[in-house]
Amino acid sequence: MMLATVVLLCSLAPTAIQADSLFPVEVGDRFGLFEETLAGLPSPRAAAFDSEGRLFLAGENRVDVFDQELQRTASWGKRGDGSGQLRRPGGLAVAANGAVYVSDSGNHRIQIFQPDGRWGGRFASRGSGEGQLLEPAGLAVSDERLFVADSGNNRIQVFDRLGQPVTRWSADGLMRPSGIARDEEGRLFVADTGNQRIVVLNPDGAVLVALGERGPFPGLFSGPQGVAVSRGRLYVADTDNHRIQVFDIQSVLRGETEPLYEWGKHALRPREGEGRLHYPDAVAVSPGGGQIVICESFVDRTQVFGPAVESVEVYAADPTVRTGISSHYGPAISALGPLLLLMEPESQTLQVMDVRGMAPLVITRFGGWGAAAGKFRDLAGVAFSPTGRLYGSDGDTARIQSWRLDYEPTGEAAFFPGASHLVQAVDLSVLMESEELPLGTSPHVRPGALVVDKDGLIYVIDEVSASVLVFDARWRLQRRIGAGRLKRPLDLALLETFGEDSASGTSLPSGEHVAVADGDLGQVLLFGTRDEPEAILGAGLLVEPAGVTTDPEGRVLVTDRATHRVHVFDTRGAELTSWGKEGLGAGEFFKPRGIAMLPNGKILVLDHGNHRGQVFTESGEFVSAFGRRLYVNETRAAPGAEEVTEKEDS
Amino acid sequence: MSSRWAQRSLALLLVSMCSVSCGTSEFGQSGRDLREPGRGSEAHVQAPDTSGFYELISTAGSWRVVWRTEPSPIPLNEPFSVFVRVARAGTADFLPDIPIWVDAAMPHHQHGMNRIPEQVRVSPDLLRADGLLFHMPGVWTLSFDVTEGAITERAEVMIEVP
Repeated sequence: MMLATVVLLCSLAPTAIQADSLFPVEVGDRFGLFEETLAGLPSPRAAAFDSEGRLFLAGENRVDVFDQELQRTASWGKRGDGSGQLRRPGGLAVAANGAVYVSDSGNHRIQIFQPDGRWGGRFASRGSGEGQLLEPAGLAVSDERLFVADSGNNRIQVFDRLGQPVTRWSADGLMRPSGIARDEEGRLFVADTGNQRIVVLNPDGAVLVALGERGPFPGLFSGPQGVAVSRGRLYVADTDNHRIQVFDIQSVLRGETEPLYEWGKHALRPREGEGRLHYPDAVAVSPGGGQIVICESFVDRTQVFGPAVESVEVYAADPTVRTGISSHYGPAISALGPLLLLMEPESQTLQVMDVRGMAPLVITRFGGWGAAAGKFRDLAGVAFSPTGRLYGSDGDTARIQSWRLDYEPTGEAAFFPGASHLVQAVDLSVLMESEELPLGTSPHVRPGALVVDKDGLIYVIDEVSASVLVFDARWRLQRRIGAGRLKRPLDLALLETFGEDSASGTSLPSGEHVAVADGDLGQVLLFGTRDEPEAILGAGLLVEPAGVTTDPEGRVLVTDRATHRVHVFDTRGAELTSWGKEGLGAGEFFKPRGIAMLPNGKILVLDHGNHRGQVFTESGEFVSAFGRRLYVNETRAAPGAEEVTEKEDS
Repeated sequence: MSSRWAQRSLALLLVSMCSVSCGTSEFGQSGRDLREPGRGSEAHVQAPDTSGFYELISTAGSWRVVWRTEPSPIPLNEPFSVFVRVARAGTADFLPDIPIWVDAAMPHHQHGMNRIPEQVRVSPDLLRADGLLFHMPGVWTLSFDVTEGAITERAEVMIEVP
């Protein structure tokens, strides 16, 4: 290992020197030199070392084990909800006795493995009560306690080592806590992701200090998810800023916010690695302090860094990184006539595009990050109503907001920033407190994707209850769809059917149906007026359906984020066509999300991971693309491509 | 602020309000025209009453918002206050202690004010927002967010500061 490190020091040393004067610690006292990439584990979201230096990575549906030379030696678990089976594990901790605790996020429980991989037990279940968990994330362990970032319940829950609940801490209003780390003094460091800060707790759960707020500058964070402590330092995976920030713990406890140093830059080339970071979401430092491991679930890789040998490039100092270049489209999209409503998660803005011309033109952009009316903290879904009102949902504030759009797509399209006017901001958590809910149902809601029907009914996914809430135009709860049946609904669409029709493949009763893409079930479920689904599409074919829409012929179009494909079904579940694979070329995708029908019958797919949208004919032939130049360029060589268009600021 | 600017600001505010209430459409013809493009605005604004209060109806139609600024017209790059009362649309009685948030932004520049106004309850049915500041000339949107229960509804008016 030592030899390998020396070779790497000689051959891979970065040449850029930009940050020497910015940070108070010497180069030799920093991490920053890229050593290697650990590939092969999709969606790694958690990392931990044991005392002997073995590395554990949790991702997709398994845990991978690496020896001290970072050679993979074992793999535990597979997709499922049985004992030892996992679903999107999001946290890891290794106890002093070698027991490995795994946060089995998609199954809302904790599982325990022996050091040799044998299954050792499980505890907790989905819910918000004592001892229950909702999308548990990071873990930290002491000799007697297990500390769980109970992300979906906005709290830290403490268990004894046998899985008995001990206490719960909300720590001054945590919002989606993800990473958690414990230092030798018993202090806990929590990545309070939704509040854009790091919270330090004493061993009794009292808040000692809160570090940072939202922003790009040193000491500020954007969606921080991962934390680690080692040798008096705090390491933060500052996820949406695509960097790692390192703090002196004693300085943090004194209320000082300046980091010791930072490193990382957003990739400029698609999927660029080898030191570039793209949404780092977990960190772990080796026991000897010689290596740091950084998980990047978005790009399915884990990078290993060693001590820096030269000053590293600093994100904020790079003139090529400017607002917007690292932003993505989606995940949600809505179309109404020639207008598209999209979201840009990094800036928490909504965008309206006019697609009448050769290039989709942004005609207005609004929203932005914040808690005030008209702003978003976790923009999750967008929708046009049939009458042209714009809707946006916010998971963190549990709000749905609506705007009037003063724009008629009849004259020449132009950018008009004042075209949107906020109408309402509706707090669903307050609404639900006044509802008579079934016994044991929490009023806590987290709105996700939404659609609005011709009668003004608003269908919105609630991620807490894994169901679809239906409100009338006066915000009275009319119905809850899929409760107890859905696991992780990601998107939904409405489908009007007119009874048995062999030509179109329709076998559903007449009326309005809602199609729900469930990422954990790997299915699209069609619900009518009954509680049970009328039809299930894609079972055994879809892995992680993440976007769904319907066309006027009653077909259901689905994007699969895991397989990078688009599938088209009839309502009997027969697959009519599919296309796509992982890649950058025309008709290739990287983690596609939203999908929408354009007025000319074409299909728009939000190629989320490739920072672009792609347009196809109804049979899946590539037509055009728009988005960031570096990503759209790859589609130019496509045979048959009509044109390639770019966004106005590419 | 010169008296000429003050007169022009007031004139444009009144033009804005009249245009908004007329609701006609001349999209994109002039930066001076404060009318909304496309469908026109649903907001309704009347001339100030004898005490200098203007009136707005919230965008969803639930609230009648009456307001005035001090000083009036709004000066460029100097702090000012907004006094505001709220009644249900179609009623005369102003409601006590209803939550209102007054703020302002420049939609064409995609930014807000560089300060957060302080909201002071002067009497049960009268709120004063202090410390607003239009730090640059151009079209500003003054917004009033009225909250009842789970629902916040906005009333807004566009003002050009020369």
